[in-house]
Amino acid sequence: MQEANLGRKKEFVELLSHHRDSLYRFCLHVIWDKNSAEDVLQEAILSAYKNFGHFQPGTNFKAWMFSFLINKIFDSNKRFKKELQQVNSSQELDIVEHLEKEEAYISILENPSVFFERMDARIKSALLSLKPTERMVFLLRSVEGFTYKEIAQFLGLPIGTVMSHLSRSRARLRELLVDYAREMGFVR
Amino acid sequence: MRCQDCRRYLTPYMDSELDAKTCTDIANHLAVCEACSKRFAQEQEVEKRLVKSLRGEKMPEESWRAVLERLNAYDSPKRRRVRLAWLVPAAVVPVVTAVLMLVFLWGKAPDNTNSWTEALQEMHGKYLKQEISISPGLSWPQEFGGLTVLEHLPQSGIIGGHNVQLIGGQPFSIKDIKGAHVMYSCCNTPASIFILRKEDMRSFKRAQRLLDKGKGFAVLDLGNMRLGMIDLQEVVVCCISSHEVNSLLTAFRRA
Repeated sequence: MQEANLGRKKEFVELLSHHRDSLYRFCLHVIWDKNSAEDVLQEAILSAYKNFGHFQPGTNFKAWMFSFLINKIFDSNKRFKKELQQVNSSQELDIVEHLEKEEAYISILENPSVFFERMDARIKSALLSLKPTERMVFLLRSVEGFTYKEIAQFLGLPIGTVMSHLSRSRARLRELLVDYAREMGFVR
Repeated sequence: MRCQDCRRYLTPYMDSELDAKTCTDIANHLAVCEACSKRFAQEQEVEKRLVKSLRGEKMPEESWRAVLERLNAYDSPKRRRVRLAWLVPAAVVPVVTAVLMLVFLWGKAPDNTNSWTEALQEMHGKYLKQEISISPGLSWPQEFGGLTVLEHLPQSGIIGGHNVQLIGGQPFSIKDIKGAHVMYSCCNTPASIFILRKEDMRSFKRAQRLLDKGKGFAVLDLGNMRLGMIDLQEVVVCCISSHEVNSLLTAFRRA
């Protein structure tokens, strides 16, 4: 019995170790408070460990772990889930159209290396300016590489809603970059 | 495809999330439109830079250690004992609840004394009306084995100044309670003796209280008859008669 437990834990820790950074940074970037993020992450990991018997070997362990983490994040803050249900497509289009005409953004696009070298420390501040739900969708897609379908399953949303959130969060993030670029004197 | 449409789909195109047809349309447009192609490459670069800035974060070693400690604590024998300790109350609680409910129901159980005395009176009435075919010898079913009182029934004679005759006996059953009905004649007056196991007296609360109060001896007035009871530890002996009941019961105590 004890040997079986040890084997089970070894297997779980082995799989978990490949994704520990992903889980940690996602949780930290969504919740932002380090202590709270670590508490939520620990709870999610423990919850997944308790349910490890249900994990199908050979399937996507990272996605399986993220489903526990996202549930725990929702448990920790009920507002997140509520916000996800609200989609404002017109606002999203406004930002996209605005960026199309924004010279400052064109300047960033022209020389991204220089901009990001100078702005690196402030990217996280820009991310923090997004709503937690916008951050969540952006991080899941762009940083963690989950498909729209997987994200839709994690969040319990239609794919179209996920696309709207993602589009808006990307546009908002770029808009914030423009603000920082101006502030820093990178563009006029 | 127009440039405006192409730009709208650039993000899902970048994510490889478009259907095959739209994907082909965009690829064809990018192949011929230098401005859109440049914009696509730039957007990809911005996205890459953004992601790079955010991917740098790593889980601190102390946080990872805390996770492993949490898992170890969950699996530790001590913790398992604690979890098992939770299982014990989980198993015990329903049992305790059931016991408490039984106790509660016991406490609230209707007092069957009246129905019981009525049943005894009814049986005694059958004896009075000679509706019982009394067998010449006294033989008791197997289930009464071990009731020593049945082997030492007071026999005919003068008991306490009363002329007592042993007539016969038969098993009886009242509400699943089985006992022995022994019929006597005391000074030419029929007297019924009912012998039942002490544990079967529990549902006759009032009778039990009277016995407790009288230190194992009690008499109930049933109008034209009296019901006497005596607690003999293993059994309770009851006597119904319109004559006196004490002599016969005392004889049973001596037996």
